[in-house]
Formats: sequence, structure tokens, C-alpha cells
Amino acid sequence: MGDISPLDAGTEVPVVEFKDVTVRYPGKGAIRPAVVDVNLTVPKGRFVCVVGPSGCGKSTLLHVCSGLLKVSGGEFRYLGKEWRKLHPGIGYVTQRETLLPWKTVLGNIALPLKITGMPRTERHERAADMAASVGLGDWLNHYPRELSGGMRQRVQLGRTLVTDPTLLLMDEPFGALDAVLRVRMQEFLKSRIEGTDLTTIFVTHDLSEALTLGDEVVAMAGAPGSIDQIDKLEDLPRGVSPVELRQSPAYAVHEARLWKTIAGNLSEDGVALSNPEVEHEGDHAMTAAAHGRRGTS
Amino acid sequence: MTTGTVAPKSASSAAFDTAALRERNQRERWLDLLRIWAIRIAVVVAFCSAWQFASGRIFPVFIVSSPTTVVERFGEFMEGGELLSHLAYTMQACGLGFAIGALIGSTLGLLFGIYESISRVIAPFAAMLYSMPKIMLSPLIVVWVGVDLTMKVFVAAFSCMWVIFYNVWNATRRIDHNLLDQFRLMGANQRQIIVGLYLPSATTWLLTSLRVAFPVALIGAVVGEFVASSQGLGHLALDSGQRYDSAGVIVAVLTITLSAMTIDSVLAAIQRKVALWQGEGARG
Repeated sequence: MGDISPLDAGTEVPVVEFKDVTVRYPGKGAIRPAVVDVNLTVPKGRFVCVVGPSGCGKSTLLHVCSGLLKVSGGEFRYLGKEWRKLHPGIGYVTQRETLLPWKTVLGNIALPLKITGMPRTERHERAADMAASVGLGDWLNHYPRELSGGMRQRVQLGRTLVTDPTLLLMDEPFGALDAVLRVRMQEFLKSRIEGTDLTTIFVTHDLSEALTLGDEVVAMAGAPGSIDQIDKLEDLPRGVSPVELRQSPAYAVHEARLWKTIAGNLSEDGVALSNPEVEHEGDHAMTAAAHGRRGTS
Repeated sequence: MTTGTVAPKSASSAAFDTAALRERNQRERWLDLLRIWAIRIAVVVAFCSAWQFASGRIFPVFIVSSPTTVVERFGEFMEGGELLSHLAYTMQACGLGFAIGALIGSTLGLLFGIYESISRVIAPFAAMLYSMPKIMLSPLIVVWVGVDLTMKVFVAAFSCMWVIFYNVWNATRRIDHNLLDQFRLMGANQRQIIVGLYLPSATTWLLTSLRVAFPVALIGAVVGEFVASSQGLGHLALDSGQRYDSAGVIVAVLTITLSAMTIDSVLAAIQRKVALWQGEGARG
């Protein structure tokens, strides 16, 4: 999939571009949008973390990036153009496990290569190399049920990276792991991605995870969601362990700033506060639908 | 309270302990199995003894027969190859019907499950056909295809295909959409999605439904023989019953039951083999 990318080194075309994007999910209950007026540009090689309360549309952004969901308003460009179909060169890792239980570690990692029609020997060689690089070289013939949560996530990551994707989308990939394993997986991910030109958008609830991994943190707010703040993390020390990173003064400053933004947009139940402007638009649309007329979009 | 140091066990001692423990567990498992089988055999022996005692003393012989008469009748049926011939006929009708029903049921289940729009249209019809006692259509099937083997195959196939269809259809409709999205993002075409995702996902349900469907197909074949036949275990049971030969009926019923159990064990073994990736044992 990576060879599909028209983005050559040195070009200025961003990998991802949201311009005034609004997204409504298709279906009957789609009167209220999921996100509104999203503007975001992600250049090549950037690691962007998206944080925000539940229901603010973080995962919706990833769906748009993958092409699984089309925008309802505004403009979305991937590699400089709008696509009618699914976007090529996407690697998508979700919190929910998407390994095939009937395939071994090797079979799971080799799956995307098999789909591209790569000969069996070649794809198994590449998959075995990838398995070794995610630390599962001795587990090639094991089934997912025989692996721990962290190992399964590494298989997912291996399956995603084996195709050399242009854009890596990660939707709370470590959300189900315990604290220690989560830090280990963060270190592992950093070691895999640092030094490459892989562009990554990483959704998380965890501020420390976002500050540890990201080059910048996008804070979303409201329901429907919009981007409230973009925090560039250029002053954070790089090439240090997550534990050391968290002890730096700059880390505390960013954390406090982001926390203030997110906490200010939370309801008492811990979910995103309604966006009053869009609420009005939604009400209007509902009224219009009830009267059998076309609602605002 | 006393305190003291505990000497660390040597590696060979630990290995010995593990081996001894494994051996003890194995021995306990065998003993447990032996106990269960001893109880089972005792139940059968007690039942047969009570039956033998009651036969002719409490109940008339022509109604309940007796174990010794059943064994005698079994011998008679086997002597001329009569029983095996009837068994072969019933199994032929059932096997063919089961294979046809499984093929049609799983194919339709898969297709209808994949295409959501078809599913929405056919849902009430599928529920109606699933609930309908298909056996009741046997007289109509006689009108359509006659009374020979085809009729029994038809009844068996029509009876069992809905069980398989319904299971595969539901399994396919409930496919994990996250997995489907992954396949699509990997660039899989429809054929790759069906072969790589839908078919393996439906396998567990298919194998379970096959085990449920086989006895249904057998009932279909036997009912077909009841309706009109001069061969098969259904015919043998019906014919024996009409002659007040209870032992003959019991021999036919036992033969068909044991055959069904054998085939079920084969299907269970296949299920275990194919679904090796299933089960508990995740490392957390």
C-alpha cells in the first residue's frame, strides 16, 4: 500500500487536510453533526495526538482520514486530493481487537500482503521479519487467543506496519491495557516510528500518552466536536523515556494547559458539553424534518 | 512460632515434582473416567434387568418386548442382511438430503447475510419457513416428486436446510464490522472478503448447525419412509409395529439412534479440529 503514495520526499503537500469540515453520520438519527468546522493540517512525518472527552468526535476524524466516512460539509484532502473511495496507504489500529482468531500471528501479519497478491513465500518472509521486529519472532505459529493483550496489540501494529502505510491511524490502541503495559507499548511505538517519515494520528483519552508520543496535541471539545486548541510540543525533550519526559518542566506546562482546556469542556458526567451553536442548528433541522422539509446541513 | 530457613529445591527435585504431579493428575483423570463409565454401565444393566423382569410379569410382552427378544430379533435381522440393507437405504436418503440441505442452506445463508438489503426483505419469510413444521409438507412432496428415494432425500433436505440457513445467515449478518473495515482498508475485493472473512467467521456456526441439522435430516428421511416406502429403517419400524412386533421396532430405533450418534461424533471431531483457534486460554 505504501507504494501507492504519490507523496515524494520534499513535496509540500500535507498528508491530511481538513478545511471547515462538518461530518454527519448517515442514517435517520443523523440530524446533529458529529463534528463541525474542523480545520487541521498534518504534514508528512508528523505525529499528531487527538485528545478530548467522550463524544467529541475524535474517532470520527480518523474515519474521515481513512475514507470510511465522507464529509458532509467543507473539504477533506488526503495527499492533496479528494478521494471518492477508501484512501490508499492507510494503516488503522483500533482499541477493539481486529485480529482474525483463526489465523496465527504469521497469518495475521501476512494478511494485508496476501490481499495485495504477494506470493506466499515472500509474504511469509516479510511477515516473519515484521513479527520479529515487534518482538514476536518466537510466536509465529500461535493463535491470538494464546497471546497477552500487549502481544495482540503488537500483532495488530505489525499487521498495520508491514504494508509501509503512508498514514497510520490509531484509535485508543492501548486503552484496554494496564498502566505498565501501556507505557511499554508507548515506548515500543516510539521506537518503531521515530526516524521514519510515517505520518500518525493517534486518538487517546490519556493526556500523558498524548504528550509522550505526539509532536503536537489537538484538543477537541463540544458535542458536536470541534478543535479547541492545538498545542505544539516542540519544547519537550525528545529521545528520552516516557518516565524522564514526564519529569521535564515543559511537560508540566503543556499538561496543565491541555487539562484546563479539556476540563473546561466537560459535563458533570465526564462527557463533552453540547455545542450551543450547533445545538440550535440541530434543533432547527429536527423541526424542519418534522415538517417534512429539508433541514439545514 | 518457629522460624527457620527453607532450603531451596534443586532443579532436579522441582522437575521430579512436576512429573509426579502430572502423573498423579493423569491417574486421577483415568480413575474419574472409569468411575463415570462404571456408573453408566450399571444404569444400563439395571434398566435392562428391570425391563427383563417387568416384561411378561407387569406388562404384556407384545407391548414392551424384552432385552433378550430384542437381541434375538437383532440377530434375525442381521442374518439375512435385512437390517444393513434398511440402514443403507435410510442413510443414503438422509446423507444425500443432509448434503444438499447443507449446501443450499449455507450458500443462501451466506448470500443473504452479506447483502443487507436482501436480508431485510426476506427476514419475515425466513422466520416463517424456519418455524413451519416442514414434515407436514411430505404429502405434497409425494405429489411433486413421487414416492421413491428422491422423495425421502427431498424431505430430509428441506427439513434440515432451514436450520443451517438460519444459523449461517445470523452469523453472517453479525459479522464484526471492525474486521470488515480492516479488510476494506487493506484493499480486499468482495471475493477476498467472502473467502477471508465471512466464510471463516461463519464456520463455527455452520459446524454447530450441521450437528443440529443432521438429526433433523434423519427425521425427514424416516418420515419420508413412513409416508411411502418399502425400504429403510422407518419402513422396518412401521412394518414391525403393524405386526405388533415391538422388538422389531426397538431394533430399528436403536440402530438409527446408534448410527446418528456415530455421525454426530464424527461431526464433533471435525468441529474440534476445524475450530482449533477457538476456546479459552488467553494470556490476559
